[in-house]
Amino acid sequence: MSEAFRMHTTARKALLVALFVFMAACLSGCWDRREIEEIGFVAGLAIDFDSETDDIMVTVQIAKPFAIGRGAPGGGSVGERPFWTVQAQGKTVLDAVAQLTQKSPRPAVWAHNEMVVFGEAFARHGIGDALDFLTRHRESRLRVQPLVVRGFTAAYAAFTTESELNPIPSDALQNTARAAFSRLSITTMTNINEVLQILQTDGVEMLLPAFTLEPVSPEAGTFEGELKRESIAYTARFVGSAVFRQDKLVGFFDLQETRGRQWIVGSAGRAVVVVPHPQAPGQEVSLQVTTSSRKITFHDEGAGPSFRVAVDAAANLGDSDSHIDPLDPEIWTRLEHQLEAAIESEMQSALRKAQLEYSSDVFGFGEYLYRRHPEVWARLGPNWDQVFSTVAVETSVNAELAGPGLVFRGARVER
Amino acid sequence: MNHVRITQRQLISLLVLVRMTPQTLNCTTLNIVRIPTIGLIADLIGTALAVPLVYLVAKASAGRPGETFFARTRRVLGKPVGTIVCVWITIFFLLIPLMVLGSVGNSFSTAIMPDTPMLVFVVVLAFLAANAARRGLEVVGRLSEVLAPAVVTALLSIAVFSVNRMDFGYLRPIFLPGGYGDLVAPVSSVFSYFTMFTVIAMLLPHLDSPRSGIANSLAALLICGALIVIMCIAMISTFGPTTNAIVLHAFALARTASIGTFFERFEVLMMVVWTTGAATTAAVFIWAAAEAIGEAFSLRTSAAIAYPLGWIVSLFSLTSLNTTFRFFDFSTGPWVIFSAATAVLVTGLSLFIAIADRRKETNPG
Repeated sequence: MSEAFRMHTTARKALLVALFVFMAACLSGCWDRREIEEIGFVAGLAIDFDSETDDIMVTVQIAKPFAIGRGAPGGGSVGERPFWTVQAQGKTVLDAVAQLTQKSPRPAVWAHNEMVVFGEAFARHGIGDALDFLTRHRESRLRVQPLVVRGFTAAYAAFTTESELNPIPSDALQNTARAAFSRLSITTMTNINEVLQILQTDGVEMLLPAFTLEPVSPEAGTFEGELKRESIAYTARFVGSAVFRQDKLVGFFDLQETRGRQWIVGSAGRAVVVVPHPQAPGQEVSLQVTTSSRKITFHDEGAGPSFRVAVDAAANLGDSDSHIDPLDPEIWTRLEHQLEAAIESEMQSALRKAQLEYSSDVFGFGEYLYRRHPEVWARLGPNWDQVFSTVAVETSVNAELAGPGLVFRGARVER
Repeated sequence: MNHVRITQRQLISLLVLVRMTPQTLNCTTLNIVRIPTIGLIADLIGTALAVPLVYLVAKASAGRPGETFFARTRRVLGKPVGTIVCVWITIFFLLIPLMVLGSVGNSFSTAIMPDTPMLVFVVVLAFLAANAARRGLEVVGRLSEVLAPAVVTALLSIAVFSVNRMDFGYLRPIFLPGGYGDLVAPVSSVFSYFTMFTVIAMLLPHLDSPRSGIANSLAALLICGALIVIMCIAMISTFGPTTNAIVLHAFALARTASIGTFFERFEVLMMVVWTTGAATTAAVFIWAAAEAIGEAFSLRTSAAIAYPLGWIVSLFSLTSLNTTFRFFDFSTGPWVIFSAATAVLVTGLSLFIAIADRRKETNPG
């Protein structure tokens, strides 16, 4: 082997070794290393506005994994809450979040946060700043679900609520919201991604789920149940939805109005509608709506622009206060008409409030025009807020009772 | 020219990987549109415009197996002019790994590992790419044959598992609020990435059956076009009017994807796509640039240039495209102009060569 070749080989080997050392240093990934026991998993975020200092107050609920499911039968915790709530103030949301590091021994990790609660005062002030933080932050996910606390209670109070069935308040709130949306259609269900889309779209305003805090017992502050807790003061109850214009809260829909809006936008899933008993005055019948759909048409002739909303709904007989014979076609038809009237009443009450009180197109009629009739939107769009308040909306419902459940006739009980 | 051969499947895989990689990183086309649906129209028009480019380049390159596009250019235009053209296209080839590595480095630093210096991603990927390029086209071809199906599956999975977040109503209305002028920038942007297909001028002479190069190149183009349109529809339907505000579209889409409520974090797939796609793309173009330099300067072997080219590319990536804003400015400005000029040059040359060759065939004397 020649001297030159041997040197060449040695140089190559040295270069390779140097390269491997460099690559090993580069590939170790230690710059972004975060040990699981050194980070705090954010389970919920609450944002309030302090009108005295004009500051934003951020409350974060951080899960304590070591306290979850420790010992108690049924998965609850004994003696120790499975979360820690910590607060900080700042000029912006990020500023406030950054201040958390002064109090928290573990850096907050946002990847698992699925909920943000806005206080009513903050929501009336505008939620744009919070949305900006949640969308720019690389850990936060666009599926975070926004909620509004109704009443001038601070949003952080949401984290003082507790549920017997779920040890972490933010989890309990989210599951309750989901159930209220999917089983009763009495609240809305949305996420940050959809909220941003609505804010960027002309002709539609947002509607967020709203809840209030309810004392669990007359002696709020102490509660002794099956599971021993430090204290249970409040529980959360969903009371409808928060109506926005742009990013500012302008008012609330109650449960029926919220469901009226859901019928109109075609988002109503299941629902329980109580109608008068067709044969027994003063008694009620519950109808379980199983499916619904809606069709919107736009008309622009004669008396000006108008919309027609036609809803189709299918329901089953859920229960009745007194004996009912659904095999009687007349009763069947009357129940269907009563269901139609109830749904229409909910739709009209939502429309009245949105048009006359809030001037907020939470139904997306403007967006419908933009998508389906862009030429009309070009004409009406610039003054949509005024147009929406006066536009005629005709509603009609076609309800069908699909079945009586598992029995035709219930037990005959004389009242 | 050495006698390395790649199969037809490897050619299609290479081209699909090369074109889809930038699409999964900073998809700047969707950032420069006034309304998102214009991005969809631009994707369709940009793909259609790329068909004649790809056809002509493939035709010119597949016409004479054993002779590369550059060799033919030098033969037809003469050595001095041919060499200038070779240098121009070499610079164009080197811009692509420069952009891809810069984009990957930025994307990792922005979205996943903010504390890790961008240098780590760029240097490691550049080394991988240069090493693959040094080993030759066969290695890159085999690599892409394995990776391309995985990348395509990953992208389709992300689109499919985001369906429950989509509102297809956002695809309406399809109109141009500012007239046809709205299309100029986005169509140019889409087309500029399709100019990456000019690399077939270097690849087709190495194809095991060069005559099938035209059909295979067009097939790859159509696969890319379909994938881009599917991804664009998925993005617009998921993000609606906020689509043009997002920095990393495919990554953001992956973050919304889930199977039920129990399987999420699809962004891990994006990390795989970025790493493999960027390494392969950089490898292909570093190899092509090395080959082009070899031809331009009549070098006996060009493989050894791969490492220096890798270092040059990573150096420029780290110094010129080291922030998202810089990348955005470059990819929506100079890159579009340079790639359009290259497309015009290559198309014109392809036509010229085809005509010259035909004349020579009809009048051999």
